[in-house]
Amino acid sequence: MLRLGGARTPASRVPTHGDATWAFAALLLFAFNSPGALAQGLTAPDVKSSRPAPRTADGHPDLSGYWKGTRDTKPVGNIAKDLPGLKLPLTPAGEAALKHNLTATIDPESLCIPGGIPRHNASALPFEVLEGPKKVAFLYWYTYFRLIPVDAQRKHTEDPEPSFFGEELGRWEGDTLVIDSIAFKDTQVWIDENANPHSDALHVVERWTRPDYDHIHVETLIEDKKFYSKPFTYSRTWVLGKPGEELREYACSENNVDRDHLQFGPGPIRPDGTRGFDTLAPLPPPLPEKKE
Amino acid sequence: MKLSLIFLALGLSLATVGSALAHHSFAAEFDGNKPIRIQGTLSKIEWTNPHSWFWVDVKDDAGNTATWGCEGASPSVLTRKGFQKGEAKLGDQLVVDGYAAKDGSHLMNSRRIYLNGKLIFEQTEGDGQ
Repeated sequence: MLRLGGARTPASRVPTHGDATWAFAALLLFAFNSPGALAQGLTAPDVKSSRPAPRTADGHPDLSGYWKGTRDTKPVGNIAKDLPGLKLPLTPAGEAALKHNLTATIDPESLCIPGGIPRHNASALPFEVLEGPKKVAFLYWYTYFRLIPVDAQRKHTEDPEPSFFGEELGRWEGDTLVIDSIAFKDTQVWIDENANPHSDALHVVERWTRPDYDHIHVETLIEDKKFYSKPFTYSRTWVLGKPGEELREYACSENNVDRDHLQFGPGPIRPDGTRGFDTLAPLPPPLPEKKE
Repeated sequence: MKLSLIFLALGLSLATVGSALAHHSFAAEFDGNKPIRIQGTLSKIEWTNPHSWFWVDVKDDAGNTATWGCEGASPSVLTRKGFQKGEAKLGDQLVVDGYAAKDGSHLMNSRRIYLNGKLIFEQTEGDGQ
């Protein structure tokens, strides 16, 4: 009988040729029965929830939690998800920037560069929020974070230094955490997984709520006068991970073998608006079944 | 009957399920029009981020050896699934079917793995990516 569970293998352990044994049991069942099941660790089915959102000592909803995307978010990784025909309102400069991204840039995240906002809001990967009275931290899968000061009196600075997550200011409006971000970098940036562009004129206003215990929701307003002819929105809901689920360390540049082999662009964008293999040539015929 | 090298199956299967879950798009690196089969000896395992890697030494007809890299999921994803150590050895014979890197390097995105002749993993076309 196959058993699940067991000691976690230290990530630092690299077996040498003389190493004794390795193996991992039980998950073959996943592999054979349900190729999609393995992805369940990073996404989760949506749930109905009747429990109210928890609140912090100062009375605000507590956004803290490990949040996972659901399969209802379609297409994932695409910032145009909520736009008719998945069509972004690109200006001519935006079209040129998109073409540049598709043909001359390697996905910054694959080079271990922070994806920033709003890319991380469209990502398929989970994230974790830690909410304090004066700061809110968003912790991302790639061991990146952003730290948002919560202070309704604070204003953007005169000439902020550009960064991947921007200069972020947070304030509460009732039960909504509003995050206003400006001063984004303009090179080595994709606005989503599909290589859509943004400029340094990007301005993002997020409105985060926790409608119930099991859900977090964002309304993202994206404005970028250089590349987009009008502002547009991106809405999304995530579900709470199971108890004990949390972010783990992810040292992106530890052994980035792909770095020197990645081609420009995101690969094909499929008709459903997600990136990935579109058509696959047939594999060699399966080997004859081996009798035990 | 013992099942071995399940970790390899799971690692690779996680790597191929959903490009949006990977740290890069597989289709930006591997060519869906370059199906290949390699056959050789498991010579190295790298249990690292952003991806685990399983390296297979493949001999050609002239007796030259080339090492092929088969990409797996990151350890943080694999351990989440509750792996347990069992039996698999460097030196095991693998046949791996998949799609080769676009740039001609010896890297592949695996779709089928045979361990010592037995199919232990399959990601059929159309699933995941």
